[in-house]
Amino acid sequence: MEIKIKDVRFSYPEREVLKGVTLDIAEGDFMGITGSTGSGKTTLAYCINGLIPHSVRGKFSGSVTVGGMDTRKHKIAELSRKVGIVFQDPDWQIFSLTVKDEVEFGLKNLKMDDVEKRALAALKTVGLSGYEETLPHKLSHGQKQKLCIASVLAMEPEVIILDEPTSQLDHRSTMSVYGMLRDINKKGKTVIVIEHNTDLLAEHAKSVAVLDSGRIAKAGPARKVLSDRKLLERLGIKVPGACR
Amino acid sequence: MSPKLKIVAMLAMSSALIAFPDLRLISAVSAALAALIASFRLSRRFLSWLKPMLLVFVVVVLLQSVELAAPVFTASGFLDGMMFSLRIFALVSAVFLLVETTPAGRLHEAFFFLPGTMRHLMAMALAMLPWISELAGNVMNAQRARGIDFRSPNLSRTYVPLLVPMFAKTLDRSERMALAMEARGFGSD
Repeated sequence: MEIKIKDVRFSYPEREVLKGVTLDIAEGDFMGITGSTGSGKTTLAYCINGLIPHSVRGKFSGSVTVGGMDTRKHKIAELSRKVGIVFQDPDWQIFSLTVKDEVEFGLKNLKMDDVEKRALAALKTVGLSGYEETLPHKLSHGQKQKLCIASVLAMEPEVIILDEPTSQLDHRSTMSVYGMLRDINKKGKTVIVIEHNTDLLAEHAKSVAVLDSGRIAKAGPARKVLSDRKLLERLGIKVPGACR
Repeated sequence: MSPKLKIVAMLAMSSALIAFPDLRLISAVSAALAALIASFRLSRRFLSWLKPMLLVFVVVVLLQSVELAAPVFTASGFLDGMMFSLRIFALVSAVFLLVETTPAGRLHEAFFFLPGTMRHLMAMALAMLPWISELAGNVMNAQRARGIDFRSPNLSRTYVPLLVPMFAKTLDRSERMALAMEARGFGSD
């Protein structure tokens, strides 16, 4: 499912965050979006799944189409069948009393079939089988992150966006999450990861977009973009070891 | 016992306590609840729940016992105060029993009489409780590390630094949670 972002501008009531972003994301891509703090990465993610302009207050212009669907003309619920988002902090999104209820939440909202079957399959994919009746609060941070991914996977969207999925994880959990994302990508899903860790992007992403103060500074094949030492150093982004 | 049956029993008992203001009935119900709590070996935990309310019970009994205009102690006022306090005790005991003897995952079943969205909101509120308690602990530790003594009688000095970050963090989480719920199709009907 192809995503086309054309001259997107977005201002929160107090400041302009996106200043004319144009970016194409191919179907089946594994794209990393990186940039310094406050460069507009999360805001761009909200534009792709329709939270902007429908739910987040601010001024939006330009257009975002996901598989031909203009995000301005479709409700978030319709878009959520196509685009799933995993937020940065699992504690922001987990609200059910059991792990299974959490995964079933989106499926029930969208009145999908085989709710239980899909939920159990998603939990198995992320390695949380056996935790169905556990209180989510009792899970470790890594397990909570996996639960959030399972909650989105169960809805079987074509595009999955993850906002800094490993920022609070240890090395082993990070590798496990990225391994999982690669498997998902191999099944034909488009994966978009907002990530500060350029070493991870060099290792896993097919393409990378670098955001600088609300504009795309560079986008293209991962290795090529991440080898632009001058650009990365100017933006305070680490040049990955594999690209030095 | 199913959570549905528990909440029905709890509501029936609460209604009876309010409809029949009889000290013997209220005392008998309170004693039965206390015995039930003891039989589940939850007495110690219950006492820690009850601790903040003990002062309320004492104040209620004292205020009811003393005729402020005279001021003289009256036996009927004392009995009224006892009845009021025992009612609160019985209600608190019943809620405690419901919460402590029902697995977290089945607690929302107790709200079967509410419409779907309300039931979901109740479940969410229950799911937030451990998080709020952990947050309170973290904020208190952070403020203690900066020299605040929570036993100090100066409430504005002790509780403002606790409540302000808690409110800010809780509101922030609520807003983000609303976004996360919308992103998963909540309210799509």
